[in-house]
Parts: sequence; C-alpha cells; structure tokens
Amino acid sequence: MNGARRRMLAITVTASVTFICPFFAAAADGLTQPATSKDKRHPLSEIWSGKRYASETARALHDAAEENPANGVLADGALLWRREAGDEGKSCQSCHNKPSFSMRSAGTRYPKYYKPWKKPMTLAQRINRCRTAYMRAKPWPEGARSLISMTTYVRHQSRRTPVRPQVDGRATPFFKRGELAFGTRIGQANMSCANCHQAYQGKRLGARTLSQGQSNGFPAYVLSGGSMSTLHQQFQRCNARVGAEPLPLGSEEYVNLELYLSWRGQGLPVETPAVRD
Amino acid sequence: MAQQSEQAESQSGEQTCARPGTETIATYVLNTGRSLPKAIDDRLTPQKGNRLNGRNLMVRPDRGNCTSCHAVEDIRKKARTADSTSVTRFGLQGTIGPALDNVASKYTEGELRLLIVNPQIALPTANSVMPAYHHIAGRKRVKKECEGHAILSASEVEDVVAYLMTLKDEQ
Repeated sequence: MNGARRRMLAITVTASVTFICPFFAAAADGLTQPATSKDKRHPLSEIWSGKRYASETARALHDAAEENPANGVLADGALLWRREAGDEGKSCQSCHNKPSFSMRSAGTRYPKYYKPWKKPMTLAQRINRCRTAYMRAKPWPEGARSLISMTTYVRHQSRRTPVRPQVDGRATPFFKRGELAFGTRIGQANMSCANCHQAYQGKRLGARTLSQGQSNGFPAYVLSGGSMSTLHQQFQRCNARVGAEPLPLGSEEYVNLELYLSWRGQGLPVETPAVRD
Repeated sequence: MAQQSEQAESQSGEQTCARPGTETIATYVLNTGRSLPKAIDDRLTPQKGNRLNGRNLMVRPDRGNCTSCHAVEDIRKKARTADSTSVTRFGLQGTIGPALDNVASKYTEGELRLLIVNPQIALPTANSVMPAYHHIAGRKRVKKECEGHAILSASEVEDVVAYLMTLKDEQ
C-alpha cells in the first residue's frame, strides 16, 4: 500500500473509531455510573443498582465469579436445562439449544404482557408455561428450588445487559397498579416502598443501607438469610418488616409491582445472581 | 430461610403483636406544644414509665425498633466491639431519623409523648415515615396477628418517654 493510501486508511480508521467509540463508551453499570431515564415521569434522576448500597463483602462475592454463593444454584439450573421432563420427552435444550445465545435477552424483558393471559407474565411464569404447554410437564411450584434454579440460570444469561422494560400498550394498566402499590402505605407500621426506597435511599436502616429497591439482581443470594431469594420473596420480607400481610408468590399484585420495578430500574445491567445483604 | 424464621418466632408463643394493652388506645387530650403545634401533656397511664424498660423497648426490633432509624449515643456506647451480641443489640443504629441525643432539651415531655403516639399529628407537614406507635385505625393489609393492635401499649409508650426524658445535657 503506498503512502497516500496508507494515510487515507489511517484517517478513516481514526475517524471511525472516534465517532463509533462513544456509543460503546462506559455503559451505566449502576455501580460507578448511574443509569438514567429520558422519561420525565421517572422518579429517579440517577438509577443505581442495589450493588452500590451493598456491603463490601457482598460486592466482593459477586465480583469473584468463583466465590458467588449462588454458584450451586447456577449449576443446578444448567443440569435442569438439559434434563428431559414431561410427556414430550423434551428438555429446555431440545428447543432452545445454547442458553447463552437463546436466552441472552430473556432476562431483560420480563415481566411482559402475555396475550393469552391478558396480563403480565414473569420469567418464572414463562418457564412454567414452557413446561406445561410445550414439554407437557408439571409446572414447578412458586418458591420451589427447581424453579428458583432455572429462573436464576436463565436470567444469568442476560448478565451485564441493560434491563429494557415493556410497560406500555396493553401493559399500561398493570404498570399503573404497580406504581400505585409502590407508593401505598401498608401494615401496622403504615409504610410504603417509596417511604424507604425513594425518600431514604442511601440512609442506614439498622445494619444495612437502604437501596433504591431495584430488581436487576434478582433472584439474588441474600447473605442475612443464607439462601437464594426471588424478588417476590423479597417483597414478602419487606411486607413482614412493616407488619403487613405478605401476598402469595406470583400473585397479581406482586407481578404488577415487579413490572413497575423493571421500569424504575431501566438501563441497569442484569446482575443475576446478585449478592445482597 | 429468613421468611420462615420470622414466622417461627411469632408462632413460638413469645408475644409479638398481641400483648396486653396493645388492643386499646388510651384516651388522651391534645395540648398546645412549645416548639411543636401540639403535645400530650398528661401521662397515658396512672403510673410513671420505667426508663430501663423504655431503653429496651427502643432497641428491640419486635417492639419500638427505634435505633434502626435513630442514633442514640447513650445506647450505642454499650456496644463492645468484640461482642457481636452487644453490637447487634446496641451498635447498629440508623440514620433515617434525627439522632435523639439531648432530645429532652429540645422537646417537652408532652411533645415527646405525641411524637411517639402519632408523629403524623406531631409533625403535620413532614410526611414522616415514622410509624404511629400508639394507633390502630386506618391501616391497610395489616399482618393478621397484628390486626387491631398498636405497636406499643400505653404503658410501653410511657416507658419510652421516661427513657427519652433522661437524654438531656447535664447543665
């Protein structure tokens, strides 16, 4: 290649890199850089992951892949992915092959409106839907180890990918119910999610620092409980904490709240399985 | 799992919500406060509160749980670093509400009483997150075992007031 052409190539490459690189520049990790929303209705000017408020121990366990206490759950999920179940003699792998490819955005898009049910559906409910409709296998009960393992394994395939909520169109009324629930005071202590997670984020409540109450890390390993926790199990703990009656896992109110939280935490990277205190 | 252990504790027979005195609200009169608009100057019970029990009610998570939001140096200094029992009991104090050191110099006894009984009346414009400790009505979706019960009974409120009245600078 002669000198002139080499110069042209150098200029073209430099110009391309200069203009294209910003699009790939530091994506909001929700830990050192907040995510932001263009929606003027959004209550948070800076969207931070719960990881930012977690203890050093919790963060270190999440950062070192081999140290994550949820690794056993991921291994269980991988086995279940390949295991045939139900009358069709199929496994997840039979249809979906490599999960790192087929499930790469699944963890960013739930809950979403599901037409046959005329209401939103969570990732766990989608998994069970596959089992019953396509594998003709029994659904796993909410809170069962198998369902938590598979939900964690599937959502883990979307790690580091930003959450992209689907709250418009037919999902709108359910989103609004979730938004209302977030601000409604309940329980003997008469507190709402917003009381702690909007007004007092960053303040200490006893041993822990209050986060924004985001959902990007769930199912997560919760150190104080010594076990995995789904988002709805976390809702139950929060409810009990304010002296409110918990609702069943997978209940409509919890699904609507989960839908609202996906919008509230938009742009945060999926961290499943996160490690929290 | 954490969820199960919380349920197990409340079912083990140790009285959590349904304690004597929590099912009725003492009748009280609102007086004019000194720095707050209102106060409850008269005691809710005939006898004076027990300040040591008041301090214990403040640290117990299943009673007042006050120190999870409020720092109190007089309590925090009881936490000994190497002893996790005393650290978890006394040392893990929150920063959600203001510190309560010297609170008896800032407020009258009547104002402190109203702040505990119903902070929404004591601080009408604050939209405070602090629960109303001696109040039952107007609650949604209360845990079944706590339905119809206030968080603290009238005598428990007096115990906490008695302890808070010790938090003043020695002059």
